[in-house]
Amino acid sequence: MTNQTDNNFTDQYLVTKILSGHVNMFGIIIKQTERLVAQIVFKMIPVAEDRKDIAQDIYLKAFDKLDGFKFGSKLSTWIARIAYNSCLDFLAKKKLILPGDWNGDAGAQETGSGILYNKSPQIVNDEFEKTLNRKELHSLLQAEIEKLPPLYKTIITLYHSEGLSYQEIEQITSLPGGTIKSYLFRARKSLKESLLFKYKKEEL
Amino acid sequence: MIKNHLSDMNLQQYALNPADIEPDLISHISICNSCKQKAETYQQLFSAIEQQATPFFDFDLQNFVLSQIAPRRRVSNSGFYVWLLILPAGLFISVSGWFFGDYLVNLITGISSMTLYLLLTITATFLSFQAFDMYIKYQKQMDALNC
Repeated sequence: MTNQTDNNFTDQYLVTKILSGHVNMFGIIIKQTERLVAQIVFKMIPVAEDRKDIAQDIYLKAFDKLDGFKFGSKLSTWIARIAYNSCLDFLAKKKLILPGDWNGDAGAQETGSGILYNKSPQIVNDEFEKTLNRKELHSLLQAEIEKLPPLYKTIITLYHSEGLSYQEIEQITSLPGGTIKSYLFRARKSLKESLLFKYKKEEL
Repeated sequence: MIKNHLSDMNLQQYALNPADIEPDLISHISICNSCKQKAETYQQLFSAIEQQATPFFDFDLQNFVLSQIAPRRRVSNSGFYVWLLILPAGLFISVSGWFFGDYLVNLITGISSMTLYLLLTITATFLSFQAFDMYIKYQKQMDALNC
């Protein structure tokens, strides 16, 4: 698989050059994948101080394992997979997350459509837009996304913000496609209901 | 034409790409204000997620990593040390095989079927426990991520 990059270098070209000793070309890979890696690290690692070490660790691992990259996916997807697994290892070592199932629909009983759509949906939506201007919506949304479990945050960001396909997210997380779709569905529904509930509270 | 309101799953699919859902469902949305507004709420949500600010590292990651790679590369190039371990190990195995090869052949061919079955059973039991343990660990990790 040859993937043309922004600098007109293919993944194959970059990897071959780096493996033949042009180590500085690894900087191009870092530059091209830094945004995607940051998305994963910021969504999965809650403590800002830990992110620097993890980011460094991700790229050092990628560099060490570069000769094992078989071009079965895009290089960026492969590095994102290393990032995801590094974050998982870190969370497991630090035991930063508590066991138990996330009930993404828990708020639905309180904030469900029965309450929120007592008014005409047209009115709800219009008022929703008026009450929350774009800036407010973004900050509210940011806060609500942060409340999601790490895996949900990561998947929803990879899909909607980074525009990755289900297949690419499968390659990164090693989760089955059905599970990814199910997590996405629950996260979106939870976000929608949380935002509508916030709107309802602000109105009161 | 369907009369029931669309599920959230269908509404999300419609909000992502109307072409992904059945024509009957699209017809329903076109005449049902409730479903239309719910779908629009999802569209606004998706648009807002896409426009979220992208996080970035507040340090020069590229230079930071490259400065770490240079010394590591010098160490990793020293394949000499690997061969220094492999060659004596190979020599030791070869000499052992030369002197004790007959004993090893007898050890393998002279084993009774009962002993063989016993060894296989122990191995299978051990592997089953290992597999079960791996599965439990995997489940715990997934639970932790879902919290």
